[in-house]
Amino acid sequence: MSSPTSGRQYKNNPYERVSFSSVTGNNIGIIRVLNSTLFPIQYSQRFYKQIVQPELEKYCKLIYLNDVPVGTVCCRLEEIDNETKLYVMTMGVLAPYRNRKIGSQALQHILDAARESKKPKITSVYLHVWVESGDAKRFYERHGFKEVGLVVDYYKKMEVRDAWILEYRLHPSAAEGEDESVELQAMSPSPAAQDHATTVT
Amino acid sequence: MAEPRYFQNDLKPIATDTKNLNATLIALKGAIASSVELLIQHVKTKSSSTRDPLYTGDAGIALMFLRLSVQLKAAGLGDYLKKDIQAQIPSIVNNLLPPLKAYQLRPGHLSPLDSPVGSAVVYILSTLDRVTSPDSSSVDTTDDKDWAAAIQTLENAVTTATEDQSLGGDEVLYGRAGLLWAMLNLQMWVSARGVPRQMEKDIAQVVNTKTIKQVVERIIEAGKLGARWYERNYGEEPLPLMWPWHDKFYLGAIHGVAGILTVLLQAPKAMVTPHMRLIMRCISALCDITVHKDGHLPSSLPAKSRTYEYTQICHGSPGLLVLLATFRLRFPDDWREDWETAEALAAEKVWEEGLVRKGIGVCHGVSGNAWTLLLQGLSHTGQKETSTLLSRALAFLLRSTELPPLVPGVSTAFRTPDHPYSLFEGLAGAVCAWIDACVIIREYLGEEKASTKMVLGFPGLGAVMAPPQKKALPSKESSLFKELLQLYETKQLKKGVKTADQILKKVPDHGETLCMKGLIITHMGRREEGLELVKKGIRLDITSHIVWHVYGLIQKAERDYEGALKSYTQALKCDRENLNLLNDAANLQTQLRHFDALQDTRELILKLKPNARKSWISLAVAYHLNGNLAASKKLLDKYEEVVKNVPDYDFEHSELTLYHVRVMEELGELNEALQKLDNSAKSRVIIDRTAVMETRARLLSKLNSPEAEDAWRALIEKNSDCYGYYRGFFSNKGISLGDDFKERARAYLLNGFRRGVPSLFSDIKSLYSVPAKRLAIEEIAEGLRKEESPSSTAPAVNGDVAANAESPTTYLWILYFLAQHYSYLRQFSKALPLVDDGINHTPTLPELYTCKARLLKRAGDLVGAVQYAEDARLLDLQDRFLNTKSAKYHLRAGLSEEAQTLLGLFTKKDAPSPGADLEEMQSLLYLTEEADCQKRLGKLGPALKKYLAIQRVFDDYNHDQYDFHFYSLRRFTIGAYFKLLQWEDGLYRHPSLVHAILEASRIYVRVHDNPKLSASSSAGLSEAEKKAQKKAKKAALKHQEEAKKHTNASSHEDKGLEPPTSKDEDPDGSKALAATDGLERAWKMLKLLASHPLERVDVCIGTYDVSIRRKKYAQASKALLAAHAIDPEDPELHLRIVDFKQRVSALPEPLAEPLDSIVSSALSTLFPSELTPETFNSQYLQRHSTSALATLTSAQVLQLLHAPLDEVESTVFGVLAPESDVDIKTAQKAFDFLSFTNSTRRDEFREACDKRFQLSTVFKAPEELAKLHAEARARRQKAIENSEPTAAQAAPKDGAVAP
Repeated sequence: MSSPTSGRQYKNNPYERVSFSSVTGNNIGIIRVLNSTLFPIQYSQRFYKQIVQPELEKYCKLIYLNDVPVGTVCCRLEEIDNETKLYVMTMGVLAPYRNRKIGSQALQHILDAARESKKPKITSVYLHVWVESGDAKRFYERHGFKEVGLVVDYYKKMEVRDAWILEYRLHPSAAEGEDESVELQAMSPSPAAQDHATTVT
Repeated sequence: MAEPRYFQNDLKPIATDTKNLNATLIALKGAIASSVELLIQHVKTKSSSTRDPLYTGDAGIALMFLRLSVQLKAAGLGDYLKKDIQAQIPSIVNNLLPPLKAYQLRPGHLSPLDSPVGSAVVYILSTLDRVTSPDSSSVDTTDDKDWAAAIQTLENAVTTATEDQSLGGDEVLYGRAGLLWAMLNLQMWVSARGVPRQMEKDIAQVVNTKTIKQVVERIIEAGKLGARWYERNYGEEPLPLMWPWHDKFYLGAIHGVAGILTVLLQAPKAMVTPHMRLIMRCISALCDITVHKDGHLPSSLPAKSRTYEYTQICHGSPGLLVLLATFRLRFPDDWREDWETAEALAAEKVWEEGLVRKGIGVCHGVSGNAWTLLLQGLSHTGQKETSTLLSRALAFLLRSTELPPLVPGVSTAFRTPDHPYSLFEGLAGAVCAWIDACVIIREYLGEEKASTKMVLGFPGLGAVMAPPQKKALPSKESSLFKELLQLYETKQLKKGVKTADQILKKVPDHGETLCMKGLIITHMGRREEGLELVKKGIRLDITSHIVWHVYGLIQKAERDYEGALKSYTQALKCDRENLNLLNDAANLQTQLRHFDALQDTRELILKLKPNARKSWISLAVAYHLNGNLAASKKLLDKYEEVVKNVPDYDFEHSELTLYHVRVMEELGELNEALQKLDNSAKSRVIIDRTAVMETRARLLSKLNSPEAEDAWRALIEKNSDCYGYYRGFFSNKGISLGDDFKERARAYLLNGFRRGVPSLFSDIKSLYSVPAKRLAIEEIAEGLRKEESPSSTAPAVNGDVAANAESPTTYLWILYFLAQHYSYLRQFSKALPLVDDGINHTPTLPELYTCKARLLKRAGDLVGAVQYAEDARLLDLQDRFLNTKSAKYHLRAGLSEEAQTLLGLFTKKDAPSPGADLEEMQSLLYLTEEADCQKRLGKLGPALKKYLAIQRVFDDYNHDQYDFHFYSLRRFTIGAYFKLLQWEDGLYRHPSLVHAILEASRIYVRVHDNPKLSASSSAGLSEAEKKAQKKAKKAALKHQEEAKKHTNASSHEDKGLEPPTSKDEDPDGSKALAATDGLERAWKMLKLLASHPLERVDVCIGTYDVSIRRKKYAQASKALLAAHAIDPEDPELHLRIVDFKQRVSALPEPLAEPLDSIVSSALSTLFPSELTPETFNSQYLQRHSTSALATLTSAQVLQLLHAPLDEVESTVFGVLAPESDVDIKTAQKAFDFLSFTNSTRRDEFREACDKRFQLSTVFKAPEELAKLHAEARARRQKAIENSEPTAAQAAPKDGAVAP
């Protein structure tokens, strides 16, 4: 088993340790199992090819609790108008492990990584949330994400198809938030639609 | 004559201890040195005109000088003779010889002892000595008139000897026997030394097998004739052979029977043997006379009554002693014990009356009498007589150094001989005796280069008894040979061959050079050619240690340790004290566990090299290995007394001291050991602190000391991961886990669950041997499962779990543990839901899938097992354990090719196939599983091949220890060395080896019983398989070529001495399978197991199965009795007992004694004689009615007894009775048995099994199973396509960034 890195003790419980490891060709089977358990969407071969690319190593992670893989977060980089943004494609933790701040730590881990990135410099992190999952939306908002738009008919195969766009500005002082949200709204539904799924709350 | 002819002997025998022998040696050498100077003086001033004869002439003195130069080294005289004297010898010899002429010789005057033949022979010998000595300049004889004259004289003598028919010219001094002695000596010199071609030819014209035989026959004829003549003349019963001289029939060595027979015995054996009966009768008669005369031998027959008898070589019993010594040396196997009385009496007489007044000489003097004792001692070598005889001989010899002419005649009552310097009467002969004595003493003392082969014996009588000396190379070739050895050492092979060829050009049959060339050629990879040369070399020079050493090296490299040891033993016979040889021999003796011999070898090494630390320790280890602990300790004590100036912090000395402590510990001297340990630790002699602590703890425990606990605790603190320390600690405390077991176990388990210890179950399951503990653990784990189940844990507060709540992983590990628990107990219906719960809870944990796979495997669902093992593997592609597990389950399900593909993900890419790589890596797991898989598929050839491969792996293990015999003792890592030896000794018990050997021998037995199997195994290949085989062959070929290219590229000429792994001639094992000597091969393997105490019934059964078919009834009986002793009720044994009974009673005629009684006594133990086999069987079944295996066995017995098929069938169905303890394995065996008997109820049985073992796929109908496999394969295919492990990492740029 690839050994997870960057361990962090969870509060007072000495037996809980959350850690992350990069996605590689060897542990991609775990991602596959997690995706099929967590999300109602079947991911394409392209998705799995994408997440093992070296430049995404810091943003595609397996989440471990006590060395057991319990969740995943996978992002990709997008370039929009000379700005590099990090798009969160999937984020999820297995049901028995929820409500233990595991998702929060994972999100924080990704945000920290994105903030530290110099080449490319990443301006913001964004994602889609199904309009029906209010818990998820609240979860992201608790971490400083802001709703910047709504994509109509984002999820093709669901009864309710709309999705919010939530965004987190990494360097708030450097840019104005308002303008971009408009832009994003304008370009939806994005061609990469349906890529995002969240099951964290 | 009034005064006796001898002086009263008041000499004290010289004790044969080292001190006295050395003193004697020095005295003799001194006497030789001064005698030589005296003789040189005499030669310069001589006025004597007698020159030709050896007896009293100058040629005799020349012969003495010649002998001196030949024996110089062996006698250790190099330092005693001045160098200029040594250099003078050839010219002295030359000057002593008269001008040579080609003489015509008269009958009765042919012996070199008293005719011109003497100077001729000495001239030839001295010439040969000159041309063959290492530093000779080349000698050309083509224009040498002296040479030609000498040869001509000799030829004339031989011609006369063979043509003359008259009687009276056969004894040693004047007649044919003397000439024969000269001929035999010449022949020996020519064959033993590299003599130039022309000279060899010249001599061979005169002296050859034909002429020697003629002379021998002539002497024998004359002897027979003489005997008749004697009878007619005297009317007395003659000896079988008698020779008159001057009308008298002498018995002594110079004129009579004893001497003639002595020379005859030294002729080539093939010539002697036809007359052996006569000769032996003759000797018996001589012995009878001697006994009759109380140790005296009359000088002639008919015996006159005299007031005295002579006791000297020429007349009297000394002659008999020389004859007997020669006989014993030449024909030890024909020796007759009834001669020993005469021998002993004669020897006693020589001692009593041997100080003859006639003085120093050999023919009738003190030194001659001493010489007889010396030679007699030599013929007894290794027996108790030797030292008595030697000590008496030496006393005589020392006395003889005080006689004239060496000391002035006036100072002694002994006479000065008529020819005081001559060979037979005077000083020259005595010097020859002393030189021989020096050689013998030095050999007795074990000194270098001394060998009894260099003892030359009496002139005119002896010397031919010695085996030929080594062929000395001419000086140029000799230095080339040294260079050749050097070249081999430095592995300059091509140059080595060139040098060898250069030597061989000159001396084509030099054995040592041939061997060295062979060795080098073997190194260059031309094994067969090399071996051929080596063997030829041995034949040519069988007494050289080099040739045997070379052969031993090659045998050792081929792992023929027994053979190698034999060669080394031979080599050591030729060179007793060669340290290289001794060390190698010791290693071989250790490898072969010949500890008695090892002890001897090590003792000798220590004697030779007492100042090497290794010699001492190796001997101590040898004592220890030989079970001689006390000797080991004594030696180590002694060593520590002697050793001085050990530097501080010397690791080797530290190890030695530790070993010393260990020996004391094993001797049970615990207090002393502890004291020594503590002292040595304090004084920093032992610097290995850990070892000190460990040894101390162990010793304290054994002493039941209260300090022991602290000692163990300290160790645990030092290294808390060492199981051994805990074991030591607990066994010392004697803890038995009693009432508080539950409490402790709960804490331990909970801690494990919380920390997520995957190996917790394997850790704990050893406790399951106690059912109460097992139940307690089950209770605890089930309790914890309820407590921790998600439904019962506290609900989340404010959407967040309480900070102190248990982690969900704890519950997960509980599920995992319990699933393993029930799976282990074969409660599959309980285990399955648990593991499924776990997978639902956390589908990402590979352990759960492997757990489920194992569970399904145990339940017989091999298809499902593959499925889940694959699921686990896909979760972590770089985990080799998961990969291996999955491959193993593929093999279990008969999917060999898929397994290969999987294994190939982790094997070397350049290996010919994954399997080949794993075999090279000695993966027992793979080899065993693959072999078992092939066997289940009915492919006996490939299965056999893999089983044999396993055996080879163990052979390698056994071989691997070899270097350590040398290395460990040099490095003094003795503790580890003993562990290694122990481990190697237990190899034959290794389950993988036992399994492989048993399975392989079962295959051989099956093929033996049904030879068709070997044909069908390979014929049954499908098209696809054939194609695959072809492909594999091609790949292997390519691989080989590449390997070849590789080695060519590196062009390293040295291929080493080990035989290369030959290319695989038998890729599918069909040749091995078709071998006609299958049973022999099986036995060869089984011997390894059967030569140890039999501890397993299956090993006994395997041994029986092979033995009975080899018709080895004693072995078979022994195997069954051994099995009976282990478990008399074993089902397999039951079947074999009936089988044995049947086979024995079917024998056409009773076995020969003692075999018959062995077999019937075995049967009386195994089989109650009052029962019929049928009742024996039914009683067995009654005793074990609920045992499925026993039920099946009794059905098999029924079949063996030719019971009707339906009875057999219904018994087999008993296996599935409700109360039967049947498991899948037994059911499968029963099914196979039904198939074997062609039962029609086969399918019925299969279906019943399928119903009984619900999860199992083992009993599916073939088509159903095929379907299941196909489905599973499709699913796996999909999964593999989806994963494509590493390809994705080098992904193209597309999709890197979404638009």
